[in-house]
Amino acid sequence: MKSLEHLRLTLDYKSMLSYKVKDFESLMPQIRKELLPRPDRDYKIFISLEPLEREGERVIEYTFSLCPECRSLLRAVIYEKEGKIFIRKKCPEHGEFEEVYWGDSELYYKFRRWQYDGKGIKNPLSTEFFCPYNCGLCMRHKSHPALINLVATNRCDLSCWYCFFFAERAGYVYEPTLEHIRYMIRVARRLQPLPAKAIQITGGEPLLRDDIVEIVKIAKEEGMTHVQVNTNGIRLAFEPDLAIKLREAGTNVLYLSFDGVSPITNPKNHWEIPYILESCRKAHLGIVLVPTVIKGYNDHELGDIIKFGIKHMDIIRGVNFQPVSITGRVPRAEREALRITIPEAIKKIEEQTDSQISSEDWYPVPFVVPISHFVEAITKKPQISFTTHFACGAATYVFKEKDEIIPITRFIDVENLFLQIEKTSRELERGANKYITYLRLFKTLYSSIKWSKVPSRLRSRRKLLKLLFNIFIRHDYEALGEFHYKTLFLGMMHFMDLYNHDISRVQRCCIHYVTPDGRLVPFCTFNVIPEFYRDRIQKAFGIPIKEWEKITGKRIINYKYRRNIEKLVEGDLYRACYSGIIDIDSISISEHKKYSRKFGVPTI
Amino acid sequence: MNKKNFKELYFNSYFVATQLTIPQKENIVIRPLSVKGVTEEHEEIELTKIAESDLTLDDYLDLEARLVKTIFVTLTDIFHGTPRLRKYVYKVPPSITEIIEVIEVRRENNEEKITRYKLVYNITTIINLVKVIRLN
Repeated sequence: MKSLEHLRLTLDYKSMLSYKVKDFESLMPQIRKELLPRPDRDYKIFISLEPLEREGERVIEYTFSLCPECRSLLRAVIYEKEGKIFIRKKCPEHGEFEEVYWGDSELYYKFRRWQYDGKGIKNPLSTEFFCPYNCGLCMRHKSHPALINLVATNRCDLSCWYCFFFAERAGYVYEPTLEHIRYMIRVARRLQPLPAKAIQITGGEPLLRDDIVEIVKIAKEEGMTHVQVNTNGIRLAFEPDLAIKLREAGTNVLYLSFDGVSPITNPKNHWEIPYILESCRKAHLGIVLVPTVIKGYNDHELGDIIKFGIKHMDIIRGVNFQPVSITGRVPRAEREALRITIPEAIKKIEEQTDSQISSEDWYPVPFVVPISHFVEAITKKPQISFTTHFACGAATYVFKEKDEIIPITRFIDVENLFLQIEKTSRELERGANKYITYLRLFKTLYSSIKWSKVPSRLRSRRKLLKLLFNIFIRHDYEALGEFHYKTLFLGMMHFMDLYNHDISRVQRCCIHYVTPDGRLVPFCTFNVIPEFYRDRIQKAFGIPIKEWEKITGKRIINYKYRRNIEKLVEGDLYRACYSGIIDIDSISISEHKKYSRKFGVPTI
Repeated sequence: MNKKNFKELYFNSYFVATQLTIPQKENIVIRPLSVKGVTEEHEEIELTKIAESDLTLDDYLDLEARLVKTIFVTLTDIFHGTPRLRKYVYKVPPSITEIIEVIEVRRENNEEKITRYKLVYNITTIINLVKVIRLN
């Protein structure tokens, strides 16, 4: 980090506390140049070395990847062996690395069929260095952002053992001012051909900021149509009014950490969840549960997490599973013990829901791109398009019918429907008659629905057809909203790490961080190479803890959470929230306390 | 891009043959058809190829910038296959103010599509790609 020490001579964030947006505008282009990683100093390029191929392996493609030891650029091979997909690369200085890329080849090939690429960024940064050392975004980037992450703070009320990110461990407080945040949002809104429309305020724990409601308001003022707050929710358990204020300010949804239904699997916020849900109910603030999935730790509860989501479908809009991204240097045996990939998580869900949700019900994220193409063809305006790499994520929608879970794929022939939509878009682009094309599409919509299997509340008076007609043909966002209220979205997003890193995925990323120096950095470079991006940038804009405490008059330690287990588990709310999902009475108070303390949250 | 030297200036053109794999499998061959220099008097002169070689790291970046601007294909895309790459070096006389390179892009999936592009470079202290025109 020599470069950063050099930079800190010229960058003193304390002096920027009173800066206005225009001051950030003029200063940041130079700062971002200084912060970019540099060849030879930070990394090397070894792309002339061809990756090794071995007998018994079926090569699918080659790609670029990184050395997990020195972050240098390497060529890698992606291949199939024994029903799984692997990635292998060799660094001339640190040897060979081999990793499972996707745990099921059949699903990999199915997903691969549905790749659509985006049209890129019209006002990019230059391509001065090789990808991924040039992130900002550059002209190589194939997708535009579907979601912008903005880190509001690195302070946190928890001290999870696996996290290296929070202020006390980092040694500084990173907390951009409101004016700085406005500048960052404007950077995202300036993007062409499409300004970013959706933002996630994240941390640390963003709810630790006293001005979190102001931040949401700023995002709305600057034109963000979707604002979500990524949180452990603990503050909301005790301050229901904050949920109301967040909703009133324009928060659309909470992205709520939720690693399991039991205290063992979710020691982060298991006990507070019932109260968080209640606060959000009162505020009409929807929730997406976000479980990080780790093999051998919580992968036995994936079905129960979905059942929990369905039980609370009045307020829970979706579950977005995130198979673990393995950070830091981890030996191969340990990686294999923890690693779970999208198809393996899907398989677990199939097993744990008695095949009510099977692997056939899932599709890759870019599967829905034809909808964007169709709306573009009608409106002649660029649309948000989820052109992420097919291996990055999966999704489906499920409906509840009495005690049954019905995935959307059971009553709509989605493949036929989306192929027809794509075909229709091409016809419209070629100048086909709009009304005849609509009529044909309507016919396809009708023929794609298996009415006998449609959930009853969508079957009566052909409600489903009306909804789909309004979504696809009238492109009515209210109809889309109504659709979402009737379903539970199930998603899966597997963020990469240094071992399975594929530059091809980076170049198609739809989730970006907006950084204080005015760059937009793909999620899997920002977090996977923190020494070049996340940590380097935030340290540069951070303030040493003691100085921060002096400036603010606050003590960072005072925000650490201490849990009152007895109080949280007593009463009906806790019991009602988990009833039918776990056997609450089988867990003693001392066990509850043990799980909390073991995780690092002290109890009182 | 090549740094302008007051004595000698060189222009690189590239040959690429590879297989793209996503969003779909596709064979692709990119080759230069002609490289001309334009003088201040707007006279077009065929430039002379003086050498042929493998690519250096700087060449990879140079090639990628052109590919991205022309057909939105990155270096990672062309390395999904096993690319055959060559660099052709042209000498640029001091009288030249602009370079026009015409390239042919052959893409073959189920059917073969051939597209030609005119790439216009201006010469300041370096050679800059300033315009890409699709010819067919």
